[in-house]
Amino acid sequence: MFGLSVYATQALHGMVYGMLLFLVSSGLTLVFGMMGILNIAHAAFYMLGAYLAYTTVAATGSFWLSLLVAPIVVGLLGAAVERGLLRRIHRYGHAYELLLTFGLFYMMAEAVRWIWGNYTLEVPTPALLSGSIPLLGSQYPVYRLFILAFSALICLAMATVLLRTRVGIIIRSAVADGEMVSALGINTPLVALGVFSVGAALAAIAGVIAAPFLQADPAMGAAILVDSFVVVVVGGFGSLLGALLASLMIGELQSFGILWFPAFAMVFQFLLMAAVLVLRPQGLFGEKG
Amino acid sequence: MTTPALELRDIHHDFSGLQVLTGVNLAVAPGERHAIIGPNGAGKSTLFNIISGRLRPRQGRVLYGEHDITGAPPHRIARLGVGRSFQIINTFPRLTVYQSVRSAVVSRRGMRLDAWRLLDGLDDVARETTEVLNLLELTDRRDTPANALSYGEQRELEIALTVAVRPELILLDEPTAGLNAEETHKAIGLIRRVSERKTLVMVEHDMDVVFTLADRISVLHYGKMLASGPPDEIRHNAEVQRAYLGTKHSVAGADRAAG
Amino acid sequence: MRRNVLIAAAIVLLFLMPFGLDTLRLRVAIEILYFGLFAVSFNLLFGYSGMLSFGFASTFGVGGYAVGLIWKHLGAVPLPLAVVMGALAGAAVGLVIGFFCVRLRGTYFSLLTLAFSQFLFAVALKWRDVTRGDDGLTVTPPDLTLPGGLVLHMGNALHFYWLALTIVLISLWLAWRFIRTPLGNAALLMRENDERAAFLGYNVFGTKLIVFTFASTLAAVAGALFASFQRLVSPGALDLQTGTEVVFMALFGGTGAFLGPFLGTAAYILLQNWLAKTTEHWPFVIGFLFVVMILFMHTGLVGLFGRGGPVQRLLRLNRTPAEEPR
Repeated sequence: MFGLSVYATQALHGMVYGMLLFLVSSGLTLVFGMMGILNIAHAAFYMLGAYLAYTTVAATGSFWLSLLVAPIVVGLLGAAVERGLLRRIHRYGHAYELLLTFGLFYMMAEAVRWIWGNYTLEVPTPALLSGSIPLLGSQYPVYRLFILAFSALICLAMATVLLRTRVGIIIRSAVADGEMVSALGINTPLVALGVFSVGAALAAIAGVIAAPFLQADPAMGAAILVDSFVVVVVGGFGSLLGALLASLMIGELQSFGILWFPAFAMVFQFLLMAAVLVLRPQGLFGEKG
Repeated sequence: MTTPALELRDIHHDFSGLQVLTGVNLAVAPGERHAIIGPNGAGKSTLFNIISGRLRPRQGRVLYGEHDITGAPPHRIARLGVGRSFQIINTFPRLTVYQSVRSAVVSRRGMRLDAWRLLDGLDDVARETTEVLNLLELTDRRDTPANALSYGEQRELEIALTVAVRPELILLDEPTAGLNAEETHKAIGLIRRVSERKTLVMVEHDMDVVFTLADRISVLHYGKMLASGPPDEIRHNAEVQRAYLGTKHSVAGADRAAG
Repeated sequence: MRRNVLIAAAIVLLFLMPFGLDTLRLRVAIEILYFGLFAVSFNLLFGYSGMLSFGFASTFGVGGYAVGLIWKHLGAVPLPLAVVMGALAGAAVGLVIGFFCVRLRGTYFSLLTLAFSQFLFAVALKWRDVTRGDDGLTVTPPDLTLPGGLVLHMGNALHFYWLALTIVLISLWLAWRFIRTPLGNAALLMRENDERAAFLGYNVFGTKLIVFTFASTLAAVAGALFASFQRLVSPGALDLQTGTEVVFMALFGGTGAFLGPFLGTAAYILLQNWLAKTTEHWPFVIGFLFVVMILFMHTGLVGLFGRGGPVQRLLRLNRTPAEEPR
C-alpha cells in the first residue's frame, strides 16, 4: 500500500513532533512530581513562546534572538506565577491550584487572541535552515531536522544537569521526596520556583522552534495541552525518561494514526491516557501512590 | 485459650526490600487488654496497619475470631467489628464533632446508603450519637468543627470515632501521644471505660498507661516479637530490659505505675 | 416554618416573574434555569464530594442527544417522559464513566473524566449516521397537553419557561433532599477524609460511584432541557468548552452553598451577555475575573456575603474559623 519511504517519513514526522512534545512536557512532569500541581497554564507558556518569536522576528528579523528573548520573558512570567499566585493559594488545596492554572491558561489564551489577533501568524523559517534535503527517498525539510537536533541537544543538556550536577541531584530528590529534601535544610521553595521557571522557559523554547514549523495560531495551546497531559500520565509524573518515551510514542501514534485511521486520529491519545489511568495510574516510570 | 479475638500467624512484611516485620505471632484473648510496646521503628504501626486492613502482609495470616481478614479491605474489616484509631489525627476537618460521630453511628446502624430518609430526622441516630458524646465527655464541643478543637479534644474525637461503631475489637494507635500528664490521666480512664467487656489492642509509648491498663504486653523489637506476657513477666524479662526498658530507672518507673 | 413560607413565596414569584419580562430576557432566564441545574449537579460532585470533574459535560450532552434521538425515532413522546428517559441514559453513561474514574483521586480523576468527555465528543462528531456530526441533531419537542386540556407550546418561551421551571425545581428538590440523607452525608465524608470513612465501614468506591451517577443524571436532565429549548444539539454540548464553563459558573457562585452554583450561573450568564456587548475581548475578562476570584474570594459570591467571607470579616461579624459545607 504505502512505500517504505512513506513509512519512514511518517516515522520521522512522529519523532519531530514527539521531541517538541517532550520539550513542553518535561517542565510539566517535573512540576507535578515536585509540587503535585498539573500546571494547565504550561501549554500557554508554549504558545506565548511561539508568539514572542513572531514578534521578535517581525521587529528585528532575527530568529535566533527570539530563542533568547522568549525563554527569558516566559521564564520570568513563570516565576511570577509560581511565587505570586500559586504559592498564595497553596493552602486551599490541590483542586484550587489546578483551577487557578486552568484560569490562567484560559486568560493567557485570550490575551494572546487580543494582542496578536484571532488568526494564524506565519513565522518565516530562518534562511540558514530553509529548504530541504534528499532523505529516505524524498525531500525532507531541513528545518524539521533542526528541530530534531536542537531538541536532542536540549534533552542531552537536561540529562547532564540532572545526573551530573549538584543542582540536578537536588531537583531529582525534591521530585522524589520533597519533605525529606526540605528536612535536609535545602530551600525547597526556591527549588520549586526554579523548576517552575525553567520548565516554563523550556516550553517557550519549544514554542519558538515550533513556530516556523506549525505557525503561531491561537489554538496551538489547546492543541498541545491535551497531548502533554497524555504524555505526563503515560510517562509517569515526575519522570523525564517516561516523558521522553511517552512523547515519542504519542508522536508516532499521531503520525501513523493520521495515515491509517484519519477519522479516529484524535481519539487515540485519549484512549491511551484512559487505558493507563485505569490499568497503571502511575504510568511507565512514575511513583506509585 | 478459646478462639482468640485476634490472632496473628507468622506475619512478615517489608517495604521495597526493607524488612519491617519478621515472623510475628500474637494471640489476644477475648476481653483482654493487650499493649504492644517497642522502640520507634520496631514496626508497631505497620503491624496495626496490617491488622486493620490498610496493608496486606507479604506473608502470614490475620485472624479475627473465626474470620480470616488478611488483606481484606478496611471497610469490610470495620463492618466485622474492628475499630481503629490513628496515631496521627485522622478526622473529618470541617465536620463538627456531632456530625463526625453521627457518621460513625450511621455506619454502625447499616444506613450508609440510605438515600431517602432525612438524617436530621432520625431520632435514634441522634440519641445514640449523644450517648457516645456523653461517654467521651465531648458534649459541650458538639458543634465545633474538628479542625477547631484543641489537640487533646482531637485525640478524644479520634477515640470517639473508633468506639462509635461499637467494635468488638478496639485498636488504639498511640492514643496518648502528645498529651500532657492531666490529659493522659483522663485518657486512661476513658480508655478503660470504653474497652469494658471488649477486646483492646493498644500501641503505646507511655509506660504509665501501659502498665496501668494492660492485662498482657507484647514487646516488638526490630520487627520481631521479643516477648509476650503479663506485665510482671515483661517487666522482669532480662531481654526486654536490655532492649527496651533499658536502665533501672525505667524499671522502677514501671514498678511505680503497677504498684 | 417561616423558612418554608419564604420558599413557597419565592417559588410563586418565580412562576409569576415572566410577566414582567420581554421574550429576550425570558430566554436568558430559561438558560439560567438549565445551566443552573447543570452547575448545581456539578457541585454535588465537587463541593460536596470533593471530586473535580473536567468532563462533566459528558452526561449533559448525553441528555441532549437522548431526547433528540427519542423525538426523532420514537415520535411525539411528551417532554417530561422524554426528559426522564434522557435522565436514565445519563445515569447509564454516568455509571460507566464513574466506574472507571471514581477509583482514582485528585488530578488523576480529573484527567480521566476529561478523557471520557473528549472521547464522547469524538463519537458525537464522527458518528454522523446517528448524531449528524458537526451539523447537529435537530430536537423537536412535541407540544404538551396537560390534564385538563391546557396545551403548552414548546415554541412559546413563556410556556417553556414554566415547564423548565417545574422540572428544574423538582430536580433541585431531589438534590436538596439527597444532601440531607445518610448517603449525602457519606458524600461529605468522601470529601473530608475518605480513608477514615473506610475505617468506619463506608464503602468508598460504592459511595462515590452512586454520587457520581446521581450528579450525572441531573446533568443529563439539564442537557435535555437545553436541547429541547435550543431545538438543536451538537458535539459542542460535550466538549471542553461546556465542561469548563460549568466549572466557572459553579465557582463564581460558591461551592460551599447548595444554591451557590445557581447564583454563579445567573451572574456568569448575565455578565457574559453584558460583556459581549461591551467588548469583543469578553472571554479574557471572564478568565481574568476567574483568576482573581480564586485568588481573593475562592468561596465565590456566597462566600463574599456568607459566614467567614470577606464582607463579614470586614464588618467583623463572624468568629468561627472553619468553613461550613452547608
